[in-house]
Amino acid sequence: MAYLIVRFRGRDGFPEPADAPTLGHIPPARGHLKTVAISVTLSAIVLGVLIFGTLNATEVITTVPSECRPLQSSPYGSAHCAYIQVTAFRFGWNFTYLNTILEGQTLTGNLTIPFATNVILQIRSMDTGGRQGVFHAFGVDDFKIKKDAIPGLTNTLWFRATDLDPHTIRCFEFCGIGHSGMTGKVNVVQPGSLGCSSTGC
Amino acid sequence: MQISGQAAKYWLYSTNHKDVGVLYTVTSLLFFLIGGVLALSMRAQLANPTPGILPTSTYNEFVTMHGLLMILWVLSPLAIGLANYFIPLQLGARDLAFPRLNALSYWLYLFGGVGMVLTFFVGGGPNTGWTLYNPQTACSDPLCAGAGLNVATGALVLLVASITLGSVNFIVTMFKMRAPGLKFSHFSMFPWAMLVTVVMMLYAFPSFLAGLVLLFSDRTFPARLSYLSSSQSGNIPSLLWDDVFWFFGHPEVYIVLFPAIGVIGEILPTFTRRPLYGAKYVAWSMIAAAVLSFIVWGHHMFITGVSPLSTQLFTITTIGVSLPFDVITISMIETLYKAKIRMKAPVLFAIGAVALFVIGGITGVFLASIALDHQLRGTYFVVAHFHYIMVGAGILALMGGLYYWFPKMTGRMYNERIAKLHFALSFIGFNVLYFPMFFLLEMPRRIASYTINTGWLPLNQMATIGGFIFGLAQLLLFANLGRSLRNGTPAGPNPWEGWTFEWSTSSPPPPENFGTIPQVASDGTVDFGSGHRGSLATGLPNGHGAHPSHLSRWPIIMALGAFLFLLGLTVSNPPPNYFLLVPGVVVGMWGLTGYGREAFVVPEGEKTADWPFAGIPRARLGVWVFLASEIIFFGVLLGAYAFVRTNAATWPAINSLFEISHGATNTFILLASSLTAVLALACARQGSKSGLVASLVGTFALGTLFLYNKAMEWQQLASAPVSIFANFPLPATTYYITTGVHGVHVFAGLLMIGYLIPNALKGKYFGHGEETIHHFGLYWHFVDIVWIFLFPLFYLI
Repeated sequence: MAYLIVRFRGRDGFPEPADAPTLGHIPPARGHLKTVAISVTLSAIVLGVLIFGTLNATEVITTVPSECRPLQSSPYGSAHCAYIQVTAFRFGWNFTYLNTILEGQTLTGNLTIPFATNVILQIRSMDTGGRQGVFHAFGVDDFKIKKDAIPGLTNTLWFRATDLDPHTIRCFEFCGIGHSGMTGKVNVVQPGSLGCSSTGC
Repeated sequence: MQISGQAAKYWLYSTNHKDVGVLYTVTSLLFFLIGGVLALSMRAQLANPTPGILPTSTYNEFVTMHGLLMILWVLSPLAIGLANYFIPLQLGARDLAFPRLNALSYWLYLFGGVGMVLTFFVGGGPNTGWTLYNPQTACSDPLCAGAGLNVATGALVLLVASITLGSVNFIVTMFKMRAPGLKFSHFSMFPWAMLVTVVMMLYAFPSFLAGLVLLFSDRTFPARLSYLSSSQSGNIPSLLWDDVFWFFGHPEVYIVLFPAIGVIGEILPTFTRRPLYGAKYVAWSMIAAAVLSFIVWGHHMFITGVSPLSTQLFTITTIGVSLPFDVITISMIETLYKAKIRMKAPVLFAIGAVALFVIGGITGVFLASIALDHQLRGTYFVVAHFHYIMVGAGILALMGGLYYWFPKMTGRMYNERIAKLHFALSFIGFNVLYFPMFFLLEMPRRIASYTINTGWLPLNQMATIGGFIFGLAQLLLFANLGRSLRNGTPAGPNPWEGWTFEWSTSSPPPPENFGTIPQVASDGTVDFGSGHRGSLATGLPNGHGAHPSHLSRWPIIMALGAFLFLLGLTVSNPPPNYFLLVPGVVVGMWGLTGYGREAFVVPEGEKTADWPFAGIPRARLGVWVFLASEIIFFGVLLGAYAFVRTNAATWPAINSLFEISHGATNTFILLASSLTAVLALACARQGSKSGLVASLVGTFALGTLFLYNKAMEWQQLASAPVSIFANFPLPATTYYITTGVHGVHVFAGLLMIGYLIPNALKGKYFGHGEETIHHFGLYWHFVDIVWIFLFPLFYLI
């Protein structure tokens, strides 16, 4: 585009194009269907690849790993997967451990998870004291995960920590006066601590 | 500048499309200043977030108001202002189809904006983000939205009314008032863009209106009619508002974008001296994008937990919608090839807008991918993306349009050097402002503060510097245009050597636009007549003084009445406030009656082209178009009912709560009233006065009976041994709101008959007058047809 602008900038003595629009005459049509068709086809191919890629990637991102899927014998899958219920409230998060480490306990604010273990989060929104919940979005950028907390729905998210660094939880859906401060930490611990054995929890 | 009483009266009462266009343009620029000050305050806050200059609560109000004002009260109205001025000129028409309706649109828009800004002083501005997400907006505890949101709801209703009337007006104008021989294929790009825009407005805004009705009822009767926050009672996902809002919201993005594309399509051919490349395909692309825009709304809800299948479908449609835009951009770039570009300010803005649109568009494709969306959603990447579209493409192109048409509107040239400086500073400031935001991938939107260890500070400070460069640069626009209004060199009729019709008449054009209406021959030659280049014009506003038919006081009075009424309905807690409500009704009815009784002569012009609606009178087409928007309105209400019904765990059995006999009786009554409405038209055609009056009275009686029956049923359900509200909250909400809105429509029909009967007694509706009966009949049948849907949906299944 820059080339075209410089190349065809108006210079003195440069003749007017033959089809320059003039008052009193509707300008003739310009452009070829062929050019348009070629450009649309090329774009469609690129976009088609993109659609294919994104649908595949989405499958990986959103589908809980097979070993963690609920079975009739065990609701939390066959392998050692940590199921944690995340309840968003104004303005913070409650984490209720459904199995494995800290089973039956609820932590507020920060999330503690075992290292190198598939973690399945079940995200809801509910306020304390009988108040209605509002929208929040639970997101941890380091794991590239994000999901809305919607009253009346339970949304699932899974990830796996591959280092022991702390990571930041943020709220990514505007939820009111405390939205800016609705942050927390993900603490990754060795399975050995917190009552877990080295082979699992 | 001293404004004499006469000039003030002139501007308040004028219905001339050019005056209304000027009013729209100036008003939207004033709202642009307000929205801009809000934006700069937020930028100042984010450059120094701890402690910062704004309390979080104020920041939240600013961020919401900035969005609502800029999108709804600046971008669209600025485009509508230019369209008001130039669409009739470009079509070779003397005015819009309904000049007084046009003035009414403007005043509704203005009062809506006043109401919106007023919220800061009555209960606080809306503080929920411009998307007004429920349950944040509908719940009633102190942490949720404040009382100001009620007034904002009223203000938004005024805006929707303004836009709907405006769309009807433009659509009828474009179909019925083109110069003889002017075909759609002759259109330059601005009329094309506006045609697509107003059709989208017509279909998108009713969805918003339906949402506002639900929101209002939720906030006003939280215990009884709570649609949106129904998750409390029925465990229903709170996604109804999301669907309703984004069904409006995504088309709205193109509604603000297309006029900009149209303006670019005007500027490029004029300044590159070449016709727009592939103009036909650009027009078709806009139509395709407009259609697609109604099936992409789900991409705003990718991570809300809607079903995977629907997210996949919305990904495909969303990525697909980029194809038409691909055609549009390539055509624009290709126009430059072998051109002779005259580097004036308008073309700089146009080319700048195209460049920024490419960036905004490509980043949009990123967001369409669900996989990337999981990372980018809700971050400053999104903020950067849509500002590239809305400000980069939208505002910059419209400003190019302002410079392009300023000579025509005022008869004087602006200062070219300052305009170029304005462009340079805007373009640089814009990129310094928004480009850094693409790298704030982890920073959530709408936060008022953040800690320094996030590392976001430098990029934010850079953005703030860019923001102030951009903001201050806009003062150049105001200074330049303000000064040139008096001191600019005279422009002459066609300073840019453009080909569209507005350049054939004087600058500014005379009240009737053309001495003789242009005629288009089949070979594309245009005959502008001879010696009639608008010698009538003697400048504003005195030039109009000789044309009293342009003035009507009723539009502003009606709009004021509507404003007071809605303010009365929303400003007090609990509502209503009778000190505002009652005057509102009185003023509104006074305006309505005056409007109806005024003998207002619409400039007809000579014979005009009106394919494909030849033979249908202008006003009847207007009614048809309006009813098309009503279909969407009721469609969305029924969709909301379906949403609740399919998500509800239980629903009362058929004939247990809503008795079929009740509904069937009312169905018979309403169908009978349709019959009498048909009779009324037949009598009007045959010239039977007594028959006409009798049929109208019959229709009135049947309509009243219907409402009486309805009221009985409402009463009975509410006061049964166990009230419906306590036992069946969801059926109660859906039933009362849907039939209530329908009842309001019946009531409006009764008001119309109340107006028709006295006039029928005076013998008004014969000959040409029968059209009025026809219009009423169309409306009445529509309302009856809606009931034909409601009856089975509520009583039989």
